[in-house]
Amino acid sequence: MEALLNIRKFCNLNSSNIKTAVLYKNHFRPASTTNSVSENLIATADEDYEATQLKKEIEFEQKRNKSRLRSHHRNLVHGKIPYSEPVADIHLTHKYNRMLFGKYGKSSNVNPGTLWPTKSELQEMVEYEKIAHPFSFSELVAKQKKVVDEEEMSVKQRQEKILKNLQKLEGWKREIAARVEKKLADLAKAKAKKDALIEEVKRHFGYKIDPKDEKFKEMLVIKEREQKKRLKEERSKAKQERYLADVLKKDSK
Amino acid sequence: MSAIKNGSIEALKMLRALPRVSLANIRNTGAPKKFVRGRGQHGGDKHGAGNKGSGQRQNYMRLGFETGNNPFYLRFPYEPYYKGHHFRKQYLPLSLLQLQKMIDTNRIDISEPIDLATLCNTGLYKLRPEEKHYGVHLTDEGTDIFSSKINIEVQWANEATIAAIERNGGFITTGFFDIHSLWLLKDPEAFFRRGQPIPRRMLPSEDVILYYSSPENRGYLADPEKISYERLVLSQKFGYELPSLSESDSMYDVLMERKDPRQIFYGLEPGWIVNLVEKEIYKPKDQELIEYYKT
Repeated sequence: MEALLNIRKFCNLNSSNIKTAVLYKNHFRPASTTNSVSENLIATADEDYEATQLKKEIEFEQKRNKSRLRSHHRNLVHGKIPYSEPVADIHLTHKYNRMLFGKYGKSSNVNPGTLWPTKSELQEMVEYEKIAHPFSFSELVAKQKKVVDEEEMSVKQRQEKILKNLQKLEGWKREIAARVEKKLADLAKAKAKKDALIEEVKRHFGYKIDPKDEKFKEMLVIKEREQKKRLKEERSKAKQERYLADVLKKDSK
Repeated sequence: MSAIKNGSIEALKMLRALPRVSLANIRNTGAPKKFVRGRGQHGGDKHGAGNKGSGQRQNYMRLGFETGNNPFYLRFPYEPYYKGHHFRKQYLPLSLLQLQKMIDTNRIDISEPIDLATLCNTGLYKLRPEEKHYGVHLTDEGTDIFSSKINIEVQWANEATIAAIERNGGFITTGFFDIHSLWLLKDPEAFFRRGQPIPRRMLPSEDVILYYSSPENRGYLADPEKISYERLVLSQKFGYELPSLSESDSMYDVLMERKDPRQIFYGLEPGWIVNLVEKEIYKPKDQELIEYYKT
């Protein structure tokens, strides 16, 4: 409550205006010619001349007003501040009063000095900015330049690598061609070997036999085994010969 | 004779009795036909909502739902092209041709420096900061037609645009405004009616800091001397003679006016409050406030 009062004081709302105060008091009444205003007024102002004049003025004003609008609506229509006295909680807020000043200028009775941030608000703003915009101009530029340089560097490195690889390209092409040739030759050789084996099996049976036949398959396995055996023997024989030759060489020495 | 007279009277009578020509009885007015939902026994029927299903019941499927298919918006789990798209800036284009037209039709007064607020006040340029419009991109369409000597501040411009403006003796600056400042520039009056002190303009974000600090782009953070050098370089590149500007020129003050990197409106400094009703300006006196708004 104390805070609210403070704000009220801060906003310097003019509450001494009797006329507006009376209007405010009656502001929920529908407009009609009968009035109990005079009683109120007599209570607030003594029987001196000015007060009676004011009373008359108010009376006339009320009689002239045939709009049947509520006072705050009537004020809005006439470009005045809707409420001369705060009626809702929001009317005590800083935000509302700021808006009032923006819309109605000095007639809002808001002290323009209150429109700037207070010390604590300013501190908060500074703190917020420190987090939201942590870098200075030169820092930002340096940071971004580094990023751009790095990107350029990586492009440059890649281009250099491409150039270097282009020089080796012909050699790599030849290598691949040679490998393919070798592989094909190996395949052809293996195929020839297999064909020869099949031919041998066919010759063994002495007639045209289907390669999918069980007998053919069995014979193929046997022949393969024989061949392997033969190869093994050949190898061991060659080894022995080599060994013998070595021994003879040593002996002759 | 009398028969003719009678005939003309009759004709006039008939004419008076005929309905007046109005939008309702002219054909091919081009006005869109209003759809009237029929009522009554057969005129009503299904009111164009179709028979059965979600159309008639108006319980439409959710957006993107493909009645049981794997929906398109979920089909591709990896969309690198959308990375950081909520940070990307848009610059609403305005061509030199459009600008020239605005000047020719008195939408823009070239005896004042032109900035984003001027363009927004023409009512022809709709900036939407909520869609990350970070200002105006002055495009080079209509380069040959453009012939005004102006001092303009835009947010993005290419070489040809800069050349087109400088060839006519004008000046162009590319300036960055953070999103809060853009709201103020979009509608300055609405801001002043809020009774707030004018805030400071923030520095550009990292992605555009080099653009706004480069003299080639006439960035507002670039060194003015380097900018004048680049003006000369560009004139030689495009092959025109750079018009010299003397102090006796009546447009000198207008053409030379530049905003401070912290300034949002021409002629108004951050920290000031504008009272539109009494046409007054209030400036802060507190030392702390002054310092805050200056840095």
